[in-house]
Amino acid sequence: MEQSRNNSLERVGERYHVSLVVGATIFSALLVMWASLGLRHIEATDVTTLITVSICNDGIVGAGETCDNGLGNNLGLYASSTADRTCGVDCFSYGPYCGDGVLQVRFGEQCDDGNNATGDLCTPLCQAVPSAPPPGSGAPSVGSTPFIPNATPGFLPSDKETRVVLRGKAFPGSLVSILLDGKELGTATADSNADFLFSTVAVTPGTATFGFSAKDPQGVGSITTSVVFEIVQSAITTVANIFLPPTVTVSPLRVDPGSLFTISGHTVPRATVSIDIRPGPQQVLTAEADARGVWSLQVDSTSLAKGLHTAKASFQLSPLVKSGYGKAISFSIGTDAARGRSPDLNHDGKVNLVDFSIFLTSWNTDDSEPDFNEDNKVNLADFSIMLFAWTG
Amino acid sequence: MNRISFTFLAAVMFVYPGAAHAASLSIETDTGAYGIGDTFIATVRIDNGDACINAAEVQVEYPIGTLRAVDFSRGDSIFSLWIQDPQLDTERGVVSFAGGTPGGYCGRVQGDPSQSNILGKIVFSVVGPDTGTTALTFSPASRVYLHDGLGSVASVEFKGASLSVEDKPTLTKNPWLEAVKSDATPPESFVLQVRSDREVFNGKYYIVFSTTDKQSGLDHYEIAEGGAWKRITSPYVVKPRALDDGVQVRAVDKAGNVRVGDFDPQAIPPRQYTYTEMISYGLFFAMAFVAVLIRLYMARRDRRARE
Repeated sequence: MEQSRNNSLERVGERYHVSLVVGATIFSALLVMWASLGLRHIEATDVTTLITVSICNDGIVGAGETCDNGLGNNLGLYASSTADRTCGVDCFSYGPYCGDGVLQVRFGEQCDDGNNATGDLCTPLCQAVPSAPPPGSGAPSVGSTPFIPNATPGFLPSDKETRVVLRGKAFPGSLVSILLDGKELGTATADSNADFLFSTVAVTPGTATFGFSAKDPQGVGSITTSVVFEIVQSAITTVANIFLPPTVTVSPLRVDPGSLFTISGHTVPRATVSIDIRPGPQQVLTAEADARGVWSLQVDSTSLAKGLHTAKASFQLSPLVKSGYGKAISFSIGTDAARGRSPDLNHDGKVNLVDFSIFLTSWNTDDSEPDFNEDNKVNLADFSIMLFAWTG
Repeated sequence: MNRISFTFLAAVMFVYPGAAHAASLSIETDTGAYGIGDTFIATVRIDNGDACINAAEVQVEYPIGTLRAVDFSRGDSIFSLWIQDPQLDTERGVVSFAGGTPGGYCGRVQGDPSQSNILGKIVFSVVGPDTGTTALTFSPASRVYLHDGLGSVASVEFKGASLSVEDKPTLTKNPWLEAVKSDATPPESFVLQVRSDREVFNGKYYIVFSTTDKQSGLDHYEIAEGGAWKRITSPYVVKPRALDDGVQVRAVDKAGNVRVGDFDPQAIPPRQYTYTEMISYGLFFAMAFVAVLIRLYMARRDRRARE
């Protein structure tokens, strides 16, 4: 009897044990899945997936394009109605047409009320409807848009031009350096909203790597953000949503334990900045940028362990306007800040082809200066560090 | 207890593979079915996975009883800097190269008409005598580096290519020859930068240069010296007189199209002398000064003696 009872209890215990095992398994699986999703999220933010490419003249209305009638048809010529309007050569706007709300006298318009409807004061072909003038008045009005005699409807049409247009956000008023395959191509100035636009025909069809970097008003440089895509012949390739991550400055770099320190920088005006400190608190810290794009955050070092840390930041203005993380700045709590070797081998403030050439002279040697990761060998890991710091 | 450990491990193994997407290197051929006498192109591609990458060293191994690597094209490569030029080791059956892209590569951009993930193209000739099924594989020594500023090695999955080889040709055309013939575009324009750095080449003048070719790919650089074109690589030490005469360097692509680099004589920096040179010159001037003093002293002494 006692034996039977014990067996019964063992069976119950075993069932309970099995349930515990199953429960623990499901719980652990969910935990790992949650952790893995979190890990993916963190890693995915490093990848600039919001950048889009649209090819003008391919007949497809791509991201950022208003229209695209295909090669040879994007002429931006005048049309007599909205239905007949033609796409402009840049695919971002239509050519002039009757019904666009702009009075174009040089194309014979007497009025343009923004439609092709009948029964109003402007005919479907943008001719003024004769009406009895009120007593004492002169000729009927033909619209209010000022006529600019020398204005031309967009660019000159060309179906043979290979052009690249680059659009994005940097810092308000900053000079954005643009690299093509690692070499300086040109610069663009960002406006007060941090928007920049660069257009060039100095390109050859094929795969190209464009790099973007800028310095904020304090002279702090951003990371070089790059995008690789194919330049299509006889087309305007537009790359949009190139967002430079915020610059980051930590002050002081050597923080006394228990004291406050400041993390600040520049970014897009009124954006939310996410600051990632590693090793650090589990939650990502945030700050709001002001109208000049300046952001700042005071951090209590009591939440951080003694030793070396890094801080990097990204911004988000809307779900579709957000950057990846930028350069990680090192600082220390209670110890001396680490000072790594710089890939700027000739100390001219740039990391470019000259430094690469100097680096080549030490390739596969144990030279100390180009051994950036201090593993006693100048190898591909050091080359990777140089490419990360590349300024062109 | 053992049961719990096992089931937990099983759960981890079940869930984890889908959690992170590792980078991968792959080899792509057009048909994969060739015959002895054919020439085909094997394209080496990279998938960056979830993270940005910026450099890679790649070793592709092939069976020397069937294939022979005859050329390598950098056209369409995402690499713009080559730390190790492509090397074709036909005795061991290994093609190796290493390069990188400044600013990193973060994957295909939405709307890009092509995949834009080519590292390079290897041109193979099917030489035999072996036939049957064979493969192009990556050496485990191949590495991909993350764009993280730390030189971290990325986790990489290798995807080789399987080939079937017959004893008679299957292709009617040589795709590599066709590609080279159709390339009439010279390499991209480039600038020669003249440098003199105390720590490099003992302060001697040297030039640096780099360009790309989007079609058949860059082959080599040449400098005009002694009335002939001579192959060189960057950086290259030049004589001061060559700078006075004007340095001419040209880039040559696989199709033989050339582009001469721009050289600005006004942009030549002052020569930087090494510390040894500066000490030597200092000693020379000091000795010359002392010699003048001695001569003046002797002249004065003679004059006094005459008086």
